[in-house]
Amino acid sequence: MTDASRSAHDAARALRDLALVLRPVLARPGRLVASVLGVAVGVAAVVSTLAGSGAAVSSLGEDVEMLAGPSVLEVRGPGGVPTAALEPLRPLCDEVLLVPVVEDTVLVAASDRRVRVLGLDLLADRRLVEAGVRTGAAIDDAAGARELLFGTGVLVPSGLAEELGAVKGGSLELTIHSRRSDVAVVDVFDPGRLASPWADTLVADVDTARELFDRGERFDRVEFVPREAATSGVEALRERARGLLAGTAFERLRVEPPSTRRAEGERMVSALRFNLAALSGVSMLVGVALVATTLATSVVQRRERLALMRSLGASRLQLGLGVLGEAATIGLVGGAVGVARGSIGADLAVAGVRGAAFSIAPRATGTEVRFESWWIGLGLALGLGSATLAALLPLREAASVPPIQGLRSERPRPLRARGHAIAWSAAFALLAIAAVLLQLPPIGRRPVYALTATVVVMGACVATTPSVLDAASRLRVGGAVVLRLAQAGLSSSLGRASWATGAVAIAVGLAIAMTTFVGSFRRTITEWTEDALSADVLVRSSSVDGMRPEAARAIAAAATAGDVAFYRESPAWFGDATIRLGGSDFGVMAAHSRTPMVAGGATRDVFARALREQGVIVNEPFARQFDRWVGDDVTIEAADGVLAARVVGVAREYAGQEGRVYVDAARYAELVPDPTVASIALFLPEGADAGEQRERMARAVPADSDAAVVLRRELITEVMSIFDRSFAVTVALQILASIAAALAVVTVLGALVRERRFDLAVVRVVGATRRQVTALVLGEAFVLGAVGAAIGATMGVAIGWILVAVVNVQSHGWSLSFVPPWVALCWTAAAVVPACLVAGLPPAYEATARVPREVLRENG
Amino acid sequence: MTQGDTVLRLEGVRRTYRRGDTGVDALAELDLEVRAGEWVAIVGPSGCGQSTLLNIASAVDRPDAGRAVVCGVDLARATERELVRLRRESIGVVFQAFHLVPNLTALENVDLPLALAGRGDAARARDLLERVGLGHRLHHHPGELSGGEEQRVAVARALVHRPRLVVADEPTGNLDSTSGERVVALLDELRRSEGAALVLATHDERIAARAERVVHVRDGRIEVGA
Repeated sequence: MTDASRSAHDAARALRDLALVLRPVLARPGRLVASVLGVAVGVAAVVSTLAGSGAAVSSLGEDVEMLAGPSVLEVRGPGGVPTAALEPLRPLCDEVLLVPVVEDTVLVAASDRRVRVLGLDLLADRRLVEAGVRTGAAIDDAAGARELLFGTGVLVPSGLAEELGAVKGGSLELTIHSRRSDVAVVDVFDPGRLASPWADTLVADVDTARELFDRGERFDRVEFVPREAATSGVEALRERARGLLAGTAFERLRVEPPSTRRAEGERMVSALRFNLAALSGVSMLVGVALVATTLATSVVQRRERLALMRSLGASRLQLGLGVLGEAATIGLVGGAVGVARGSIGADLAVAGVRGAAFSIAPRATGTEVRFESWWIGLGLALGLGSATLAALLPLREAASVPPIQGLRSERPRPLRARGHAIAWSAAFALLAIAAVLLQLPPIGRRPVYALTATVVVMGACVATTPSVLDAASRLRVGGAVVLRLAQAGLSSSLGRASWATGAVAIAVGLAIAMTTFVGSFRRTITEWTEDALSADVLVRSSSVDGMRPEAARAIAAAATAGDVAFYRESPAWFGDATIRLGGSDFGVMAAHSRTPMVAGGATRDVFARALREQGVIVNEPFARQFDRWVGDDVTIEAADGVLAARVVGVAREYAGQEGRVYVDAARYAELVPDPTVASIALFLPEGADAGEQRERMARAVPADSDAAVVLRRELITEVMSIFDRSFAVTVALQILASIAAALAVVTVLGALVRERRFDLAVVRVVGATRRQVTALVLGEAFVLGAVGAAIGATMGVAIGWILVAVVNVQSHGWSLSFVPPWVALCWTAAAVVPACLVAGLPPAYEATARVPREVLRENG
Repeated sequence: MTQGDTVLRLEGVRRTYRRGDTGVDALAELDLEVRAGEWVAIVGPSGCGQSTLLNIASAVDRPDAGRAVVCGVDLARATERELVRLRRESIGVVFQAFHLVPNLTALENVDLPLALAGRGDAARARDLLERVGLGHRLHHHPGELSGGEEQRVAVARALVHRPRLVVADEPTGNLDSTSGERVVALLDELRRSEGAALVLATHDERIAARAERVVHVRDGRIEVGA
């Protein structure tokens, strides 16, 4: 045989083997498709969530270093780098080019598109060329150069220009500091390769950018680009730069590689990405449940054939390999389909997570999703892994099939006292493990151990399923013979009945856990917004960088009653961490604020004490993340100084998970030169007409400003509607889990009915009507549903508590009120059991459609 | 009821099963009459139509042609409801493989036909189990009983509702000879005391010899003694 013919022969044999492996699952194409789709949905959810959230926040991660180009170090400060700081650094120019940069995010007016504006020294900076960006003739064109260097000209990447309808020589309207500003499109450039971060970046001269963003005499950073003749290493350069800054007014500036900024950005969003991935992982569970029931049912249906194979010499290993082959095929096909669907769904996911991402990282731009080759590997690995996990139960079933001679005399094995003891011991052991996991701290802000504990609790509840089901099937409830037969039927197939009960329990548990979490969160937010949003009228900017001070003053001056408080905010450093420093008029807050406090006493007393003692108030995420509570001292580095103060209060806050430190407005002004106003609060006296004041202030909003004036009630409604939109995805997950549970009940009951066809035929021969047989099967569905709902409710409340009390605190630093989900529990009781009864109808039909004589003939 | 009443009358009964494109006559023009209280043994080789005959006798099958009347009910004309009632009230069945309902106790298995009819009678079931020598095994499950004991439970179940006709399909086929002898003796004793006719299919000539009448079936027809 030649090599070619041997290869062809091997390929044909492999195909034949594959066809043999797949024959049993191909025999039920509907169920096969459901399983493949189940895996695909799970994989697609994970891939699209990871890819989508990655795209939404990529500007904070990998883009940082790509845009940094050839720079090896950068000088940064909490409020930027004063232009004067270049002076002491000038001796470095023999080794490096000192490249000042201003970088910020703007909204393109008339769309919600966020784009990055990168202000560079266009004459000296080589990075555009090195990144493959071709700027065309803009710099050579005298008019263009003048507009770029001295006007408000920008270079626009070609894709973005097409999307925004911008053309060379035209203009682009941007919203900066809540004011609309026109910039001139000097040229449209090719951003080079498709995945380049330059594709979302408007390039401007650094002075143009400084002016656009009101940076005053500050750059955002100064980058070091080594000259060709440079001889010093990066560390030597760094030490030299630190030495030059030491003893000057700029010694608090930091000299760090660009990777530090990337790490900061990624740290900021890592918890969000982790939580989204964990949430999408729930849909993987659904896929696992579907594959498990499909494979297990397929094994049950083939027990006689498998038993015959064993009689003819097949080993348990060979039978197991067959099941694994089926699982692997389903997993791989599902994984491949999932990747394809996930890459389509990623764009939707970007839109879905953009709001959450931007609330955590206001400077993120949100890019287009770019297909990454690792998605294929991830999707296939997830598909294969989940299907293999799902195959464990069917593997056990297949391995326990005796040779055909044994099958004939096989009898149901009731769960004895030892079985009950093992089930409950396993459950308590798992609960103990979960309790230990819940004591462990998060990794970063990722609640890895707490989420693992939820899975362990799920396992503990599922471990009790056979025992609880057995107890339920022994329960004597009156004389209804069909219910007694149903209980006996389940009891005789306890293992398989436990699968379905477990699937129902997991679906109910997930639904109740999510309902508990969302319900508790919603209740907390409702109560918090009622108190924290205490201003009667609020003015805010839709752009991330706030309002210009003159616009804010004009709007505030229009109010004819009440007290006005401006709120300002800027980045600051607490140790190595970036936090937000907020400043507001503590005098006004002491008179009017109702922001709930976690610690420190009554709200107004806290503000009054902070004002009196020059103290600060921190938000709960700050207190938890850095373990700084009332009485502790904090040192904050701001743009123009260092704040050393004592914490006098810890405010409850759910507006973001960033650590915030609040100081009185006067102290803030000393620390931060930027006068930009983030928002204006107007507190009115009793009986004042808030609507009238709103109208007055709205009329005072400058024509070129996008500041919005809203009433308290409108704001609360908006907050709650954003909340509800954010959690809409949980409803989809609940539906998916419910479908998986219903399919599990249908498939397992179908398998039980087929397996017990002789018993059911005998019952009919001894006098049962079709109606009684239907009631018998539905009785089994009822018991499965009731036991599954009871276990699931327990599981759901426990997991819900973990999500509320541990996961949420570790991940976001927010403490929520735990609200027991009584309504959800009632709905579960009212909905799950009837749903299981409906799921039991097809098997019931199958049971009554079988003619007893045919069944009895099968048995001789 | 008198000895002369007919509990089973088959006239020219034909039953054909389809196997692929061809039809196979399981019963062909079969005539048989069984009187009340009579014990008829059905004997024949495998595939002779014995099981089909018993299925019709126990009202779980109907003939394609001819007339089958069981305990006064014409199977061809009977509704599903009438057939269920017939099985509930007038027919008891004993299977070769016992077919007790697993995870129901011996007592519950025996009481099952009465319970399905809505008139469960644990005392009657207990009495029958004591009469078949299983008074000490009332609450045992089938898995805890020997084959002989299981079949004795099945015998009690077949008679608990005082049927007029008991149909037994190879009731000793899965038992050793001693247990088989005991089961047949019990079946005969009980059906006599309860006044039931017995149609019993067997390959065992010794058991057949104990019947009042032996019917030989071959190729779907009665050969001798019908």
